[in-house]
Amino acid sequence: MRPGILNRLCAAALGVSVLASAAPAADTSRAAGPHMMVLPHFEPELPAAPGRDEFMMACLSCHSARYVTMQPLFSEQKWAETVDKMAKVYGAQMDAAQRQAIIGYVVAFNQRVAGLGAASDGDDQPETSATVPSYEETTPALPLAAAAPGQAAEIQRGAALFQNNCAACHGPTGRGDGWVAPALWRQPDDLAATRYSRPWLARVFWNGRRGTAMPSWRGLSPSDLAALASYVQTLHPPTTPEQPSAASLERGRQLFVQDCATCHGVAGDGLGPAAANHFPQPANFKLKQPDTALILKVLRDGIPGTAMPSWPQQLSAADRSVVAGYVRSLFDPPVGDPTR
Amino acid sequence: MVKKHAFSPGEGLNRRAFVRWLGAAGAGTLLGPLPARAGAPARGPADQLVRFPGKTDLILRVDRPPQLETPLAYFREELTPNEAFYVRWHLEGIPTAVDLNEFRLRLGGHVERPLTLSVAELRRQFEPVSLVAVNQCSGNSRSFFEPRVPGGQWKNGAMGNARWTGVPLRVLLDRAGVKAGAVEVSFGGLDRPALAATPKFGKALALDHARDGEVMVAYEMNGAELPLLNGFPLRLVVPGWYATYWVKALNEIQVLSERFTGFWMATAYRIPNTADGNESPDHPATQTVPINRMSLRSLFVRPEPGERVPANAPFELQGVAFDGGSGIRGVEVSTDGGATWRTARLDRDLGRYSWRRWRLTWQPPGAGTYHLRVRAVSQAGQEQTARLWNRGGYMRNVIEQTDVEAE
Ligand code: HEC
Ligand code: HEC
Ligand code: HEC
Repeated sequence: MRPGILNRLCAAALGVSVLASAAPAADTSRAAGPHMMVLPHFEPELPAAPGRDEFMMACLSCHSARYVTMQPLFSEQKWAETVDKMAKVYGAQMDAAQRQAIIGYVVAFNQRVAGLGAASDGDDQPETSATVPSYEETTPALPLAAAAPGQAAEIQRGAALFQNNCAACHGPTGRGDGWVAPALWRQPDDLAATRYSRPWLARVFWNGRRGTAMPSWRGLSPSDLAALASYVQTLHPPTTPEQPSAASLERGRQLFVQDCATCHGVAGDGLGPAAANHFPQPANFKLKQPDTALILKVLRDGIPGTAMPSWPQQLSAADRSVVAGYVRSLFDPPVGDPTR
Repeated sequence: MVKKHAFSPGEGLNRRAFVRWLGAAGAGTLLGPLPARAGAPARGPADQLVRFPGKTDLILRVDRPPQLETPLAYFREELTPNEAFYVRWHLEGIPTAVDLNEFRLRLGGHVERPLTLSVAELRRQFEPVSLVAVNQCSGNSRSFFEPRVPGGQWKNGAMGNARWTGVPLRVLLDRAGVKAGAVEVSFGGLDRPALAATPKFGKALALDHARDGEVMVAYEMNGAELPLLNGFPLRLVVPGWYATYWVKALNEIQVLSERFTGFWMATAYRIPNTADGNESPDHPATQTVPINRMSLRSLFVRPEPGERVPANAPFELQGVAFDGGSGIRGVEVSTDGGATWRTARLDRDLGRYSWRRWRLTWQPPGAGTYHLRVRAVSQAGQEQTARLWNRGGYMRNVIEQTDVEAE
């Protein structure tokens, strides 16, 4: 074979340039032992339009949006059939209102993508921002009943549900290392690295994590979701609470108000003045408590693709530790929550 | 664990920004539009080449799970290089790591002695056999269906021709001892769905077919191990049948005493129960059957769509032809829209499951547009037809047409 020649030949014949991802070539040796690859990602960005949120919640768990962008122009009827097939045949989660919104979105999306091949791009009508609603997560209609801690049977049931519904992505023990994880762009969370309160889990289960593979779980019964929540809450190992000095907390508070509160809110509830402009929205530290190691990692690297910046320049290592301690002190789950 | 994020906020895109968005779709370079086939419908965004592990630049259809198409130019060779061979998975959880020390092929079910074999044992304990065969996706060329149908929007590159080496399935079944009463054999691989509600991928063959001595558990493709993206370490080879049966990362073979009822046989990959897989969009067939043997096809490899040829100078038209295993008797080409036909030269015969490359030297008698067509006849006497449509967009095999400019 002459891959080099063929390559050039191909590019020349097609009149195209060539894009190489940074992914390493697969090991092609005959050796026994592990063969591995890292998959590159070319997820299309999704244009803002009504229904995008619902689409992002329901349609990205099993495949990228390229399944939609590669399709030619189809009628609304055809798209309704496709969306229903996703729900009935493959298990996409959506209620009737979401279904309607998704159909509207894919129809509009499809018209714009598929129409482009033929249409000239002369149409420069700006999209009125009025047609683009800002995103708001729906409040969960799901008061995850506060579990009586130690209800072994409930936790066991949650564990079984977790193996069936969640382990493919989050891994058998919730560490984020499921079978599907290598295929995902945004990685499943390590559920042992954060202490999750029940109201936070209710929100996550109800809405999924828009734009990621994490689906909404509205289709499961409230009692199943309660069992899942109880199980997820056991994944974080019990730790002795650290006791930062009052001075350190005060220094942390000052840094937090100065650097973090515009997004995360003075109270750490994720509702700072700039929060509404961002998706995903800033974390609510009253309802979830990341481990110190995770906070330090996030402060060092930021979270690429979100508003969360990295802070190595602005904050010294010592300040990052201090602010991490303060972030953890904000955790304030409701009375009766097993994490309290 | 720090998360990686695919989506930036992108609120309030206007039309112009949207066009730019298309231009920047994904992380890739968006390529200039490929020239559309004359008379073909507009086909949306232009093709983009991407590089996946172990692969050269292939045309991106879907990134997750990967569906990557081979550019036409690679079909100028008898065998399609492994790194250029197309890629097509269904489920998100594709195997990205396989440890040969742990990997085992299990053969069980309705047998006397269930087998558990490592790849090394397969190589060592059984006499290898080799065979050249076309592997073609059921939906190859789906984007040329009219009216269009949903699914992977392939052009003609969801196929390839390779030399497969491995162990005949019959030998493995005999070693395990198929019990009386067995009717089918089912096959599963390492790929898994993200959500439990999605049916796991699996296919089945009738027992007689599975034991025909040609169906093979392959560990090599063109003399090298299979790329991970093409089913490393083992792949079922079902010569003459559509690639949906060629289960990738094969690790489970079950002999069944009842018909297999898995989704990917019982509901997906069905074709109309008509002679040639044809049905009318207005009157869809009421009965369907699982897709099976490949239909006869012949395709142009040169000229490529949009390629210009010199007027009054010889140009070698080239292509490939194959069917479901009878072999190719002849190929005819027309350069005047089907009014007259000439017989093409066939390259050497690599076996009845291989494709046969064909050539015809043609001198355009002047500048202008020429309407080229190609049609084949199989050893079994099958001919190609002008029209084929079915709701799944499967088995396209019409007499191909392409327009070429001579100048
Ligand atoms: C639970 C998993 C899952 C979810 C969630 C999901 N899909 Fe799919 N989708 C699939 C599978 C499986 C296929 C077929 C894959 C294949 O053959 O490659 C598919 C195929 C498609 C196709 C190709 C056409 C077809 O009929 O095969 C389109 C378009 C599509 N999905 C759109 C959507 C949209 C829109 C949503 C959101 C409502 C969605 N999908 C959500 C699993 C899913
Ligand atoms: C298809 C893959 C997939 C499946 C299945 C899945 N998740 Fe997730 N999950 C993710 C991803 C990806 C993220 C990270 C989302 C992000 O980056 O915001 C996530 C995040 C989470 C989070 C953290 C959210 C936060 O705000 O910190 C929780 C809790 C969670 N998942 C629980 C579950 C449970 C419980 C199930 C099963 C009922 C489940 N997941 C099934 C992919 C999945
Ligand atoms: C410009 C807005 C913005 C600022 C300023 C900001 N953040 Fe964030 N932060 C975010 C957003 C948005 C997320 C959520 C990202 C996600 O869900 O993936 C986030 C997430 C985090 C997380 C991860 C939580 C988790 O469980 O995954 C930590 C920790 C964090 N921020 C700490 C801080 C600290 C400490 C500061 C101040 C030094 C700060 N952030 C400043 C927007 C901001």
